[in-house]
Amino acid sequence: MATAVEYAGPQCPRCGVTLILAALQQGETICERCQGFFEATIFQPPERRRPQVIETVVVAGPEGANACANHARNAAVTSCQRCGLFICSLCDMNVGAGSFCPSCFDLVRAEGNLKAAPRKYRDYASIARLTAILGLLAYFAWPLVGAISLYFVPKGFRQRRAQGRSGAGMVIVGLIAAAEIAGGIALYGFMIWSFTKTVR
Amino acid sequence: MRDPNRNLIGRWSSFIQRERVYAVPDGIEVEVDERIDVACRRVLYDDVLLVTYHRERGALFLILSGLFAFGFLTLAIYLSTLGTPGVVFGITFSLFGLPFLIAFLLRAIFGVDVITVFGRRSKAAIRYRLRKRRAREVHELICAAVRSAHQKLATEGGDHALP
Repeated sequence: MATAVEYAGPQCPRCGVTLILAALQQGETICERCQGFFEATIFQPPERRRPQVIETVVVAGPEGANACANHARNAAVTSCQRCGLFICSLCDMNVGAGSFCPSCFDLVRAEGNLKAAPRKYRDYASIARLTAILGLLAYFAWPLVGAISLYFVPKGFRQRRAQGRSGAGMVIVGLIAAAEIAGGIALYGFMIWSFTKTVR
Repeated sequence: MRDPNRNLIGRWSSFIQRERVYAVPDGIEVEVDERIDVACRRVLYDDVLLVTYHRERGALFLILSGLFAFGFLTLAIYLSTLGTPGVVFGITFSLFGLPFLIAFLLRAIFGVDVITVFGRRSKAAIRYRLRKRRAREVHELICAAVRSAHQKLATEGGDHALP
């Protein structure tokens, strides 16, 4: 099942208590709970008119249409591209990524495979930046964290460019990561050199 | 490539997350950067029920920044009374405390202007620290866009109406 966001309509912007719009006044208003002032602009959105376009099997005839898997009286207009069920226009969940029946739509959306409706994505630039900066604190792991950061830098750069944002930050992160690798190699090299010198 | 229909209208950073708010033709898009993952949500103009505008100070921010500023500056004053070496340490600690003091004073004097857009299914908040005129402009723009979308919906039955 798709998870619903916990949101129960308009709230007080200060304390978060749910507001009753009918009791709210336009303009400068005060919250009864927190006594905080705020300016309110209330809107009454008109309902969307949805014309009836569902064709019934009775009208189309048995040769004219197949029945919808969920609504036996409705004529199917397409089939679910995941499970293949015949679905009517009422069941057709198409958000630009093909037709799905409601249960498959929920499943695909929950798995995050619905390309047309991504709600969450991984920010590679943040991962690169975090590993590079946190890596500065762990000098013994510089080569490792530097390599991890450097792995994510090109991905982050491409992602930033695709979003139309500057990739300069990624260049700086790349330089820090390269310096960490070089510093780590130098550090371990020095340790090995001093150890062998001591043994001799 | 930058989407010409997607304009950045506000951004906000906290210790936990960063938010970027964009105006798109049919609504407001919020990108919440949780440091590794970025979550997106939209408030469509068609669905907007309430737009609010208020100014807040943020008690937690004021207390924390005030405490840090007070702590560093008290230490700096105390150290500077201990002689010449102490003055150097005092100056160093006062430099540590200065950003907290500036943040405290800016927040206490100017506050943060918050525009909150409540839709039927989601909400978006846009915060402005210093650009109060910009906050007013954005508030007016959002209200105008919502009115226009509702008018269009009332006359045409909406863009998303079934064929």
